[in-house]
Amino acid sequence: MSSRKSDILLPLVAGGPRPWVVTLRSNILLPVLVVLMWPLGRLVEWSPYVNDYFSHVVLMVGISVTLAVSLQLINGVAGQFSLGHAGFMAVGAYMAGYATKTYAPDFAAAPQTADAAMVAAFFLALLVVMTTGGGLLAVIFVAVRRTRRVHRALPGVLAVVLAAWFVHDISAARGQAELPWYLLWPQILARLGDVFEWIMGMAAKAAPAVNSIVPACMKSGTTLLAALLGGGIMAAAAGLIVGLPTLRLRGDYLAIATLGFAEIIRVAVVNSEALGKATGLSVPPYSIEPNPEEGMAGQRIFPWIYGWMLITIVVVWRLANSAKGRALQAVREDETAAAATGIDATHHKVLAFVVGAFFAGIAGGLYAHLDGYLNPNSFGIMKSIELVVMVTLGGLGSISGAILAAAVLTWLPELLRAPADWAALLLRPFGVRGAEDLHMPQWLVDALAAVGENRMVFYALLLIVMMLLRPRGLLGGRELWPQRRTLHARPPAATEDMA
Amino acid sequence: MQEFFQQLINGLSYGAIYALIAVGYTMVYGVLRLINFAHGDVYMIGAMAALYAAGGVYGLSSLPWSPGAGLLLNPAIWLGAFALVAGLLRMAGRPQGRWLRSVLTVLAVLTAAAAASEVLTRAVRAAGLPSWPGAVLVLLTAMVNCAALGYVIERVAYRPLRNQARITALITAIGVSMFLEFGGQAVFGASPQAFPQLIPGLEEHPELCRIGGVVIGRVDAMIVAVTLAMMSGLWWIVMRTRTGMALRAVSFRFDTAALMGIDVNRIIAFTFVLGSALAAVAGVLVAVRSPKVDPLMGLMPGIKAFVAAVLGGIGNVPGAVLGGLVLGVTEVMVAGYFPQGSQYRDGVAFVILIGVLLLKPSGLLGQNVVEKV
Repeated sequence: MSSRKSDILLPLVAGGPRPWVVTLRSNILLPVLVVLMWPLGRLVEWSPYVNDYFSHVVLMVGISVTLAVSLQLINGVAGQFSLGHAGFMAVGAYMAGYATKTYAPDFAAAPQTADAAMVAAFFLALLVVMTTGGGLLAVIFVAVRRTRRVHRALPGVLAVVLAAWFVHDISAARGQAELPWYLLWPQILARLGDVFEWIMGMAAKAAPAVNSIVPACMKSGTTLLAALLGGGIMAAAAGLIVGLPTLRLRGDYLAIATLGFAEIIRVAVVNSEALGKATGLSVPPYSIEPNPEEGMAGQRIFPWIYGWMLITIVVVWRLANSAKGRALQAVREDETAAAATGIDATHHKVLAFVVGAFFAGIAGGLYAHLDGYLNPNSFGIMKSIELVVMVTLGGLGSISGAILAAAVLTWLPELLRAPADWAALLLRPFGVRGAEDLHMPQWLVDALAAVGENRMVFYALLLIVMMLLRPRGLLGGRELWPQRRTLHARPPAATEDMA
Repeated sequence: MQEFFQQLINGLSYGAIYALIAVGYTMVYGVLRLINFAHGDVYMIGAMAALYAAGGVYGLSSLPWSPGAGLLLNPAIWLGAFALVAGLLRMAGRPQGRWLRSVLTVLAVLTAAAAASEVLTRAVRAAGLPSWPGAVLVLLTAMVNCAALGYVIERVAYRPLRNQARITALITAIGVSMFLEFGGQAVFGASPQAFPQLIPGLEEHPELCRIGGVVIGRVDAMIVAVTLAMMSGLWWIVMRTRTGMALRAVSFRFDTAALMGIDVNRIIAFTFVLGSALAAVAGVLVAVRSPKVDPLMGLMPGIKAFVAAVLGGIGNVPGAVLGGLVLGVTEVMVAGYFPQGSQYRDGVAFVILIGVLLLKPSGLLGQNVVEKV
């Protein structure tokens, strides 16, 4: 399973390039990406574009790429067809957004009020409460598992409980006298809420001391980091919760179950008073250099978004090419056969879900602080489907494909919306002020307007045509950059020698 | 108890709609192992076709263009142009492909459907609305259009990808679904439109009868009756005809069926036609019950119907019906009994789904398939 050893051994047998060449070639991606990002960052912060639609689209591309790459780990590398990625994104976005909204209300404008300690304590308290609740459930579950007979009779027991509930419910609907017994669970939740309050109280005492350690100029940055990490961890916990029960399911059943979980998360958000119900949640948008006159200053969030994008790409890419990644691929190809060779399929599937969900949560948190407004409908089924489309169009298992497809599919609707404006936008440094400066003929203007009006129709058509022409995705499961040799590419003789 | 039975009846009428849509999902899945995401939008097109056939947009007497052509041709022109483009693109990739035949077939089917709806819509105009013959004719128009649409979708978007990975066809299914939704918004307009009254006396006498205080509405009774009739027809086709036997064979084992001399392509196309026609019936029934239609009406019912199909064991037609009924009844019960239950209504479908999948992953009526390595 150790890929490193084979990489060193292989060239000696097959007469390939020297080991250091292999290492350099397969690690070239990181410096190339960093070098590519530098001019992009300069472009977004450049005076013709700053605080503009253009920079907003560029930042959205970064978030989409993070989401697509993290989904590629679940869908492409581990082969677990998940249709619920928007749910993880929603968890990250709402958790991070709620924390900063509550404990750092104007951290964009005034760094000294940005309370990193309270945000961190919020997530800590939440984790403790969740662990306690989860522990209670786990104890019940283990107790049921211990007594095998109860376990076998579980459906029957459930049916009896349901029948009892039903009878009681009907009588309660008639009487409406006192609180029915099945509504007692809010009291249990209230006890858990007390724990939460207690930890928050402790944190409020400790917060000034902790905050005095952080210099004022770093305060909002630290707060954002705490919020993002907390949102990511909450999303990872959601990934664990979704991953564990759905492990029994395969293929389409798994897809529909994950879709169901995402939808449940959305419905929960829509019904939550604290998270703004259906009207949405306003979150303080992020910028280190406040500029209230110009509204939201998007420029300084660029390093955050593209930095996390880079971290996601590197982590997913290293994970996919590690021994664990090989195990994930084995689970993807044939779960039963993989289990027969000693791979713990359950562990690896949960791993993929948790890591993927973590980065989706981070992307959600960034999205929350980019726009400053969260609407539960933007985390619906269509968002999940959009992400699956990105991953599949890029080619399942191909990380560079996911990056490419995410960038193209995020930009395409914007391009179709107003193609002439985009041409003008790109020419703006050369003195073009708007689309009217291009002096296009009237028929072209009309045609482009018609395209812009029906842009989603064209988007759908392009999607179908692209899939018909390249059924295995844009890159067909390969990568843009040179790969370490895979197991399949290895000459048979070499494999025997090594064994 | 009275309220309980009242809710039960409402739930059954909702569930019957889910069942009609779910059957289309489950049949396609049984044959192709494909989640036909566009199925919910076929249901929407069914309601829209009925709207146009009933003259809901312009009034029955003053249709601006020849009604049948007009009603079908909006989507048809789009799809026909798309079929041409796709065919040309495939020709560029594979010169020996039968692209011309495919394009001509698609155009022929669309023309036939347009001609049929022309005749039917004229008949609707002659019969007048609201009237029973008129309602049946409107239903027939919707079924013909959706059947044609289902055929075209299969031919254009799924058949070229038959030998590829299943996820590929899933993505084109999503593409077709988005195309129909956004194309529908472009063609029909994004806002909901009122659906004209089809059945005489429905608004004046909404109650059919009362049994011990439980009101049985005429609409609910009609929905259940039509669903029962459609299901009996489906049962007859699948169990008692040669085509149905071939359908069962294909769904049992694809390649063996081909070896037995069954024209698999024809059977698959037939499955799509059948499922789409049933979706059209569901669309018309919903349009009659809640007299308004809009281009995004297929999104949520489509996904819930798929949940119903999974609930009953996907690939299993009686399972789909059972799953649809269970889903409909549970949704209505939750909305009726829980405090603020109507807000959680959309989530309930998925909670049941996950519960069933955890206890019995193959669905209520599905069989466990043992996997060989």
